[in-house]
Amino acid sequence: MKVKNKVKLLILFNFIILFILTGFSALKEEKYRKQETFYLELSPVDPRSLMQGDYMILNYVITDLAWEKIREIQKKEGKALKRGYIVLKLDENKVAHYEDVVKEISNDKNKIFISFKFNSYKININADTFFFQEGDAKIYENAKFSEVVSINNTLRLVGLVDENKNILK
Amino acid sequence: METKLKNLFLSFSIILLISAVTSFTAYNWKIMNNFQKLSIPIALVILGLGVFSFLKQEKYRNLALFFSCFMIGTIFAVFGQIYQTGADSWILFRNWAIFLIIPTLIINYYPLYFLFIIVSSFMTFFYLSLYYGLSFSMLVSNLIPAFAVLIYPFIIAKTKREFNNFFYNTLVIIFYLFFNIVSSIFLIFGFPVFQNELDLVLYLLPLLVIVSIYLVVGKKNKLQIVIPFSIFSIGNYIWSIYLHIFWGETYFSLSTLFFVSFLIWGITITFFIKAIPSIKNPTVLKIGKTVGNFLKVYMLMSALLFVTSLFSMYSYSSYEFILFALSLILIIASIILPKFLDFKEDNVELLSLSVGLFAISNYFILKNLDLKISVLIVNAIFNIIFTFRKSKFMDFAFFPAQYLTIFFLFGDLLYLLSEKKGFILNLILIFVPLIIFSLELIFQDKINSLKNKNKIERILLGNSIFLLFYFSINKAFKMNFNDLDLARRIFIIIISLIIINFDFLKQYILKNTKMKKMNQNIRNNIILSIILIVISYYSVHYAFDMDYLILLILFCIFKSRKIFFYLLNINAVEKIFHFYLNDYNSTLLQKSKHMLISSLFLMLAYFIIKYLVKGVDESEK
Repeated sequence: MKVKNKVKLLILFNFIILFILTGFSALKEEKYRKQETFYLELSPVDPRSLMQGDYMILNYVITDLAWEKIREIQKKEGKALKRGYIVLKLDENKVAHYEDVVKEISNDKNKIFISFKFNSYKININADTFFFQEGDAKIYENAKFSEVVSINNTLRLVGLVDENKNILK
Repeated sequence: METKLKNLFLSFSIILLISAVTSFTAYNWKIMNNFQKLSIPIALVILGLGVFSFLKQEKYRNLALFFSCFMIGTIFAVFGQIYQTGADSWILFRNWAIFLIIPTLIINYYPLYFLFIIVSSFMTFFYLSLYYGLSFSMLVSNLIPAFAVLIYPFIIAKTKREFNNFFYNTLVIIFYLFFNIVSSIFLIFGFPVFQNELDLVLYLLPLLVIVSIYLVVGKKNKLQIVIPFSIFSIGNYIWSIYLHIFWGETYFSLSTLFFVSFLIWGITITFFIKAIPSIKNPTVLKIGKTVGNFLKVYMLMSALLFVTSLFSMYSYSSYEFILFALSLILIIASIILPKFLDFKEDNVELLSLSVGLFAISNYFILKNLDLKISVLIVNAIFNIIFTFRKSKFMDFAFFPAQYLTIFFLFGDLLYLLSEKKGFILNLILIFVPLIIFSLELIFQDKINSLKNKNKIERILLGNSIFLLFYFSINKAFKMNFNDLDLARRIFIIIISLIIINFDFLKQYILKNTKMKKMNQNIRNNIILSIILIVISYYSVHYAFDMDYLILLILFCIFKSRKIFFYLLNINAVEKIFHFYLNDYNSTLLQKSKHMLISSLFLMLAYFIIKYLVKGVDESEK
């Protein structure tokens, strides 16, 4: 086979794998969204825009509360706590409330463990940004909760809801 | 000229097309469902692949593949938008980098190499910023281009490809520039993060990589370009660590600071200057020599600060007196040194003058003298010395010195760009250099016949350097004053037309030769002129000064200023990026529309030049 044809085939192979993997990832994400969701209460938010278009930076009550506990652990152990789990408990309205910060998860079925990463400035719980169409920031100004799912202790953001749990769009 | 313009139009057409698509998808269309949103970048990837597969000319195939590779990133960006996986997540760039590996390895096309390096650097940066601070993340992610500098010679040797000097030299310069800026910021202002062995390794890793590059690439592979820059970087790294420790001490002495700085930089600069002559590439050699001269000035300033700080221990007023006296000595020395050195050493009196002016500026600051008066005095000293003695450096610096004086005198107006005064000042700083540049063109022959033509050329080059510099720092000119803006655009079009038609004007108007019939060159000029007028007319709607850019590029081509040409290209890409990201006067959709239409215009201009301007393809061959 000529070198040029080999090159073309390799390039095509690369992109076919890309399309297949993208397709499978999309199917997986669609499946995640159908899982049982719960809600996290938001702190005041700021709309911003970046390369992927307009997005809001989301701040959470649970991360505000976790901040102190993380600092405590760091002071006690004398080193930075770069990752761990925030322990949450759901109330009857499926709103998650902060319980604790731990380094390892336990078998307690009544609690939800969500992983976080900490760089000394910010606690990242993988649901920190919300994309929306340019110009639609006002729709989300009244967002009170984010609707999320937990996949292997990692949060996935589904959408933003108001205080009556109505999805905003 | 036609060939360079043609290729430029094609490249920028693709860049603007990529930006237009990215802008369009970034809008995040509510009316589209998830499948439709993802289909757009996928369809464009397939389109690019189609062009890659079916076209025969390598130039077009490579551009098409580059376009498709960029669209991979757009696919993941849209994916992230739809499924809210997070803004600028490291996973987006990781996935993008994975699918760039095969095209980068098998296609010998250096823009793809740059794309892969940039994407990998972003992946590293966003991953690290989950766990570490901003400056540390930037420092470590800067090691990705470092590895590219390290392994590129080996890959080329193994694959028996042609070593691309332009790619490698550009990579080296950009890497060392970023490395030194970021490492200084991190080491001086950041706080130590080493709380375990891994953190300490990451802290020292940048230094180890630079040393590796010096030893492996510089000494073993004899790629001389990396040697002086590695030496500078090691010295800067050590000095930054020292400065960080220094600020941490509860008691410190300025004299110790200046003395140790002088020592570290003295050793670094000595080795740096010794290594410069080994650089073979003339452009990089010039850059190296300029950096070397700058370092000498810096050294002398450190020495001056050290000496004056010793006196400050006695009394503040004696410090002021010493500073003033030293500055006078240095300035006078710069005037009389040329006689003693018989005009051989341009650098020594340049150093003396630069440090002298620096010292006297500091003296004015200490005396709380008004900034504008200080600037006027410094400018007056400069002009007096320029008038009475020869210096190559002062020839280059003459026009920039005058413009910078205007800038400092009326600089507060520039912040009021919404005010007409500010806008007019901005126009003065563009029009005056442009007028001088036009006169340079028109009287080119007369200048060449003068005895001191070298001096005049240096002075005029300084004017051009300022033009380039002011273009690069100046953001969109679209303000509320349409009449002034229109005058500016007409002026730029006229100058551009003069350059394109210069030979015709010289022959038939200045020399008054009779035109016998329409020859090929005249026909080509007419076509180029029409293209230019159309693009410039449409540039009324641009926010990235395409007409100004084309003018400066024409100038670079006309005067064969290669390095300016490359810098302008880089700056033009930066302007497009800035327009896309930071311009809040237009929505994403408007930007997408502007950039798409611009792209189509440039593509059309490319084909018109290719097929209608005769002699282009032959000259390209």
